[in-house]
Amino acid sequence: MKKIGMAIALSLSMVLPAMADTYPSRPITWIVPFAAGGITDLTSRKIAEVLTEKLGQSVIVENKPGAGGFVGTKEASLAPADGYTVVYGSSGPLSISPALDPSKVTYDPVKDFDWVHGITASPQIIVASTNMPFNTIEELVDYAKENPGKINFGSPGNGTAQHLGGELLKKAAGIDMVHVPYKAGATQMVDLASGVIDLSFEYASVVAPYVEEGKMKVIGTTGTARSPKFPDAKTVVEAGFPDAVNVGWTIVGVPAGTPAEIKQKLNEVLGEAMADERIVKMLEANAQGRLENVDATNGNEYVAKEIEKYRALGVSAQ
Amino acid sequence: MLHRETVVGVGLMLVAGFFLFYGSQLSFGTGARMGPGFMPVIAAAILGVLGAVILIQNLIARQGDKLPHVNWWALAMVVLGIAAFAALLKPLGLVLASTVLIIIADLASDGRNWLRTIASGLFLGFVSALIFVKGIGLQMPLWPWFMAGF
Amino acid sequence: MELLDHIALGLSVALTFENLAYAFVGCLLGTLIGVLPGLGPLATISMLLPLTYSLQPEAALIMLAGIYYGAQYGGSTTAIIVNLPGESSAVVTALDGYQLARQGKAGLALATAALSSFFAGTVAAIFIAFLAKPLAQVAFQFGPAEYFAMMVVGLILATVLSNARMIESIAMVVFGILLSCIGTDITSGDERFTFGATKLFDGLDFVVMAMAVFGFAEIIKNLSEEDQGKNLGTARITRLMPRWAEIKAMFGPAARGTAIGSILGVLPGGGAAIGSFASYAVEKKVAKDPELFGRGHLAGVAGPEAANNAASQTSFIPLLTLGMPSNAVMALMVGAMMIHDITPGPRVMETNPSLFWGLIASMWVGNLMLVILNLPLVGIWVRLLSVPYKLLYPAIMLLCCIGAFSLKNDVFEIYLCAIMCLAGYIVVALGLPAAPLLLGFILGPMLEENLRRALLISRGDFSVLFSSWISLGFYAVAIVSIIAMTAPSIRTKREVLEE
Repeated sequence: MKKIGMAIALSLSMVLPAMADTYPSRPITWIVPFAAGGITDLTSRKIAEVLTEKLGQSVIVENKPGAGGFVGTKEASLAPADGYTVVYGSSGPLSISPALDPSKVTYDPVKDFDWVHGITASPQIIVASTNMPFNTIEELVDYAKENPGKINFGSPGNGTAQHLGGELLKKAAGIDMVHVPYKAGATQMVDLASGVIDLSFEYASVVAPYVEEGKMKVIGTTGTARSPKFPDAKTVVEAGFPDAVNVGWTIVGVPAGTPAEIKQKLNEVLGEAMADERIVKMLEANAQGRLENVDATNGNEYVAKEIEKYRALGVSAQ
Repeated sequence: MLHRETVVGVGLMLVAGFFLFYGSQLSFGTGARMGPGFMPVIAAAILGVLGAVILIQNLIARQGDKLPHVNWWALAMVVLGIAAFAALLKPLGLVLASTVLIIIADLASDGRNWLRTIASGLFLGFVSALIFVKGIGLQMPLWPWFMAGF
Repeated sequence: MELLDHIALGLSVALTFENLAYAFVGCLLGTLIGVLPGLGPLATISMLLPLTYSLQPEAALIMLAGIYYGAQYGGSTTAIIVNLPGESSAVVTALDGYQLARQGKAGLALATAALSSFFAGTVAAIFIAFLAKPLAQVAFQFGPAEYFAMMVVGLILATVLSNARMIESIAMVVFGILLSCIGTDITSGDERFTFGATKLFDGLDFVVMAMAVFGFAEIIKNLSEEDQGKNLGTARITRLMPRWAEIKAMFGPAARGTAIGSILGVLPGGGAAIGSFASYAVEKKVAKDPELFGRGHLAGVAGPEAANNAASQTSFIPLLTLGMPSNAVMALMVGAMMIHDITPGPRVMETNPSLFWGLIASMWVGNLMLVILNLPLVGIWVRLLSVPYKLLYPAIMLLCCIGAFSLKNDVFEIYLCAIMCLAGYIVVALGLPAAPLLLGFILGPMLEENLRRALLISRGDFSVLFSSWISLGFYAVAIVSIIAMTAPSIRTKREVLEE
């Protein structure tokens, strides 16, 4: 029995390389380094559904949560470079942590992976408590300069893209604010709405209900373009702080060394999937932007540049 | 004769010592701005004091409860069974790993009926494969690695 | 009356054949899945979410909500039958429920749980229909200082949970707090006691802890006894259904539990977690026979179960009225709503009245279904206990291992189970109380996080902790509890028990 199994395994391993030109010939595992049910997971599952149709092979989402994405990303870096394991990478474990906390990161986000297609890019919306006297980014900066160290800005944790949004503005505008980390987004939003903290950099879908209710006000956005959801809010670029631009992004990649034609195939179908009406609608509903013009040719370059951006901040996540 | 209280007191102090030692390597901070080490160090100190009080009370009173009877063999088999399942799940798949777990777990109690044990192991392995993997889509291998893809 | 119109609208949505069917499927799936420790509603809902893409939004949310209640209920079933609380809220149910089961009264305990849950669910649904809007505002009164005060009360109540010596209960609470420190410190981002292991950065999982000190420790304890658990199943099984007198006795605890749970469930910062044991502590105080708690007291099942179920329903209030998810399952519901292009928030009530009121009506329908579903199941669960223990315990171990794996799709959690099983058994074998340990573990991080956050925001000014009436109210409760616990009459009772 065991011998037969070994024989099958052996013959399989000889057949596999020959099958590469008909990629994919078996199901593909899509690793999400975050828990099931979060926004990254929901987005992944929707895209996987579309990819399954386009590739004619099922794309199975596997959640590998832990340590802010380190566990799953590391796991993906160790997978065979055959195109049957893809990873849904994101700015936290790929650029922020490697820049701010390199001792904790056990993989190389640029050398261990080949990034094949950008997916989402969402700027943060800068929201303030209604108690605060400022209404625009400029007024916020003036207020912060008059009251150094008085403003408390919340985030869903140390080293999150939202935390970095605040740090980037601090540096770009030369102001001093105190970071108050939370465990999750919900409590932070309640504390901002009730005036316990003063400011937050959060995603549009998170802040929308509170803004509609008048519990907090929109000051601006960290994107390069205005948010379709809050078109009146100026960008940090318009306010004169282009160095404060910050987006939380996601990207799909494979372990380094994957054959070029497989990467090309993935790049192609991901491009088609991103243009699919269902995906377009979903991104719109979640107020997520897309990471445009990042593909197999420049994916690794993009990641490397983002790491540099955060490293230049000179802050530590601790 | 060792009392239960003696063991509890010493045990708590050992646990406290562990957390105190490693906790003191974290930044303690100040009362107003606590560091990551504040809570563990304070809690460990309290635990140490409580352990010491239990121990001293016991030493003064010179009496206490008997130590419980422990079935070391059962404890070892249960722990080993869990660890074996963890080790074998990836290479052998759910069905065989379950069977091994059931066999080792069975060793923890008296009475042997190998045939029944192996049969129930395979049965439970199949049923859980059906419910959890096929039914609700848990991601775990069902079969040994060399049969993957079938 | 407008409200009646709304309720009529809700019922007209919830009572369509299609939606009834989805509510049923949700409750059934939830109950089955809740029985697997570790595979809680969170994992289940996220795995089943894609199935709901093609449904109407009402049907999708009704089914997902059904899974949520069902899983909560299923968690209590395992707590009673095999001493395995699948969720933090079921820890308390295990204390007396499992003792009842050992006395051959598993059916009675399960029926009590089902009936008091149904009672709580009904009251909470009415409560939500009338008071959703004003109650939602309560959450805004709670800042870090208030949560800190609440956790102080919670930790003090935690020591009441057991009949062990007070000093040992306190030691276990502190031990639990220490274990909860393992992992990434939220406020500073530093790692504590992880020794560089990335997989420990998120700390120990509650489910692993509960399996260790309740599930596995109980198995080894039974195997250490003379008969190796052979008489566990054979304890004569008395009638399954409670008598009228018992139902009457259940009413008080269930009503108080409902009130406690309904209010705590509204708070987003972990109020629901302390609902069930706040209820337990209250019952133990008001009972004429507090010494029976922990030895199989029906009120110790009825109250906490009612509190738990009421809280799981009122936790929908912040979500529906403010778009604010109060726990991870609710966050998932936000995701589900967004997939159907609904932005959760205050507008839902106006833009999707049929969804809003349909969901509320379906809560009650779902609870009714759970009772209808579970009362007949009681017989089956109880019969499960008559399976020889030699066959039963390996199966429980297997379920635990699969559940542990499902937490993170990783075998590391199973290894942690093995280690914690060793440690947990030593604790339990020495007669140290496990429930205070678990509660210290749950509440410790909330205590620390809120204290440090309050002081960070106030720039180290301690007066912020005493600056609101809510905080002062909690401290008053804390002081009264301490006095009550150390009062001579009660102390003698505790000491008598130890003899």
